Amino acid sequence: MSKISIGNKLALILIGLSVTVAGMLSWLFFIQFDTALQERVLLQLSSVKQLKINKVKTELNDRVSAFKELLSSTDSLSEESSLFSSISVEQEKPTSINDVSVTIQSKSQTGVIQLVDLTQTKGEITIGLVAQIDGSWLIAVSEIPEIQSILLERTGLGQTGESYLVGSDFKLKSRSRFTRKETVSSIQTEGVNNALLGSSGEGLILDYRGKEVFSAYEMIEMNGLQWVLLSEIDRQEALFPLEELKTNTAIIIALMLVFILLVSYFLSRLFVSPLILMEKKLTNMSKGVLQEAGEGGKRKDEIGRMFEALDKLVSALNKTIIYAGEIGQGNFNAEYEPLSDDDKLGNALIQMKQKLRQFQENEEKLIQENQKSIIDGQEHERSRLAKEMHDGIGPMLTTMRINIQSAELDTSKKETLLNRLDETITEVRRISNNLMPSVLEDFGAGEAIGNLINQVRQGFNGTIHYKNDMSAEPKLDEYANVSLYRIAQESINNALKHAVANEIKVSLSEFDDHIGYFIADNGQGFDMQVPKNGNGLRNMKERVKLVNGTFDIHSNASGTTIEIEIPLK
Amino acid sequence: MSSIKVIIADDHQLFREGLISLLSKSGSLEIVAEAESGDQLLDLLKTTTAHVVLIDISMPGTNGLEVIRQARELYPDLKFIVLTMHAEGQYVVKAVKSGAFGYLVKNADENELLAAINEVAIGKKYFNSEISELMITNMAIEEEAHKKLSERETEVLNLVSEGKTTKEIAAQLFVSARTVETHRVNMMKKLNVQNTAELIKRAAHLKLI
Repeated sequence: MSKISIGNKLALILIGLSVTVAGMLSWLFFIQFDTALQERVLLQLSSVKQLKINKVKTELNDRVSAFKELLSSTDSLSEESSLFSSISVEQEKPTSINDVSVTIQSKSQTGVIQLVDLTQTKGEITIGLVAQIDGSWLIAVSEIPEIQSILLERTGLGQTGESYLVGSDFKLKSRSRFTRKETVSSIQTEGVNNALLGSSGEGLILDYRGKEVFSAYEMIEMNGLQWVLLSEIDRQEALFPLEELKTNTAIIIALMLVFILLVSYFLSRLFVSPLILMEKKLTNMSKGVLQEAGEGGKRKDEIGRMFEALDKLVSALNKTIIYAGEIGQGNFNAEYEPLSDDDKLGNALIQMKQKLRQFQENEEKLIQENQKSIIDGQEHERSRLAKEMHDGIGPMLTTMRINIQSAELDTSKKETLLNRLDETITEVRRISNNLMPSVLEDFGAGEAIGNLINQVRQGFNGTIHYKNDMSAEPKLDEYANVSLYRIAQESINNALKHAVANEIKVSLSEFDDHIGYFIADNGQGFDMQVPKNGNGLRNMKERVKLVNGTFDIHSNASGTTIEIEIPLK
Repeated sequence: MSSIKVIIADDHQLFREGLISLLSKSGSLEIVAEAESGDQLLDLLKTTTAHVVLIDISMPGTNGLEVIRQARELYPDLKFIVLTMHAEGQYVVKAVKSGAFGYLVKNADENELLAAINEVAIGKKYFNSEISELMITNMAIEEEAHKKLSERETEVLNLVSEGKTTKEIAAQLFVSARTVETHRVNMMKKLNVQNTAELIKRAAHLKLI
């Protein structure tokens, strides 16, 4: 069952439901119709039978009345009566009339008319009227073709209906519509039996042909004559409308099935095609392809809302994807609003971002600290070396100088040695100074930069201006102090080596919260977009970053300016 | 006059020895003591009297210039000559401020050394031409009186009062425009005024311009 597609399920349900309903309705309707039809047929047969019985009785009464008249005027026996084919008077009680043996009640009183059936041939209904009068018997024979006419009157009996008379001897008296020959000798059907027992009635019974018929039967009893009149109609014909109904119902059910199939096809298209579309989209989504719901979203019903929900899901996922992408690209400033408190993916991403950011910050901090400690170590090493040379080798050389001065040597030789030694001392001082000027430590970057500029001024074909606005008390810590000096050293060096300038302006300004360093040259400038081979600029930026300072550089054809601010802690 | 009593304070023993043997040749000098640190010198001075101390700047413990400052308060008659490897003007200026009477670099000639000791011993100051130059260059900056406004600020103020724009001032003072702006704001803060016009008025009132 679960493997059947929704479309087929829908069709099955619709067909099942409608067939059941149609079947039950048809059956109920059929039963009702059947009952009503049978009742109607029997009622009709009953009234036809009653009508015919009345007519037959009228005919018989006519004969009886005429016979009475005859009795009352026996003197005119010779008078011909149109109703009787023969009239005779017998002295003895007759045992047969017209060769038909009859049974006459002998105890009957004078004037009591007895009727006897004299019919010999079907359709030629003949009765005999017998009455005892003054010890003799008056006998009249009457043929009654009217009765046959009455019975043949087929109004209300359709194609197969008939009315017929059966005598108490179970013999058919009227002509049968169905059997011309004398094949039926005795008719002992249920109707005849019932009627002869005195009960009139109607019902579905088997007639003398053995066919199922609707039958209404009643006994005609008059003056000793016992006849049974039956009005019958074939069941087949009577219930023909029922057969028609069956056929029509079958056609209607068949048409309904076709209609339902079509409807279920369209319904399933209506409901199933968006589901199939949804399935495709969800399958795609499971592969990571996100797309909008498209035309499905135009509907306003539950399916439309489903697509709306899908759209929401897609846009939410897209947002999440964009966010994840931003994180992936290292943009930890990307913002994301969780879809709800239960947005586990979103919250996990936010947490991931925070962790990554923290990690990155820690890493940056660590890297910065590492760089700082490397640079610091380097500077300390330089400082140590500079001091060793200045305070270690320097005094040794000066000691040697004193020793030479004290030595007993010839003056010119002494002069040469002292000059050589002075050169050496100057060189040691220069190297030491280059490594790390002692002024930097003892008097601060402002003074050290001043000394540096004084040194380079001699080899520069132009003017260098220097304004030192630093207070006598060094405010920068040792690290920032050295950094500022190195930055200045690098920038001055760059201006001298690369700028092709004839004027360089350097200034150092002290503020409450920061130290500003500014250098401008009127040289050729450089293209800031083109990366430089040297590490100069990068080192400067790095140093500034490590003291949490700001670095601004501008360069064009009329020169380069660099402005640095170092915060005071 | 009896011979000049000299104390040598230097952390390098070989240098001290060399100096002693160099100076001993001169009959007018007497090396009365030697110290290998500033702190040792201060101890020594409690028991030993001298006329002149030859002192190095860079020594373990208390820095030579600080020793001079302290000793000058305790022994006003004691004269100090700085004898150092440092050949930068800043040290010279600081030495003078600390109370040194003379300043020599260690590779000074024997004659110069003797001349310095002799000059200082009679209460004169000794700075050769080279040292004098270093000193003057640096003194020029140091001597700027600490007014309410800094030197740079006064410069900026003057230029502002002349009607120069920030850009022009920046160009003239070799600083960035932003620095000029910062100076201007700082001055307004210091003189407790709200705008440039008030600043000039107030500065004029204070006779700063």
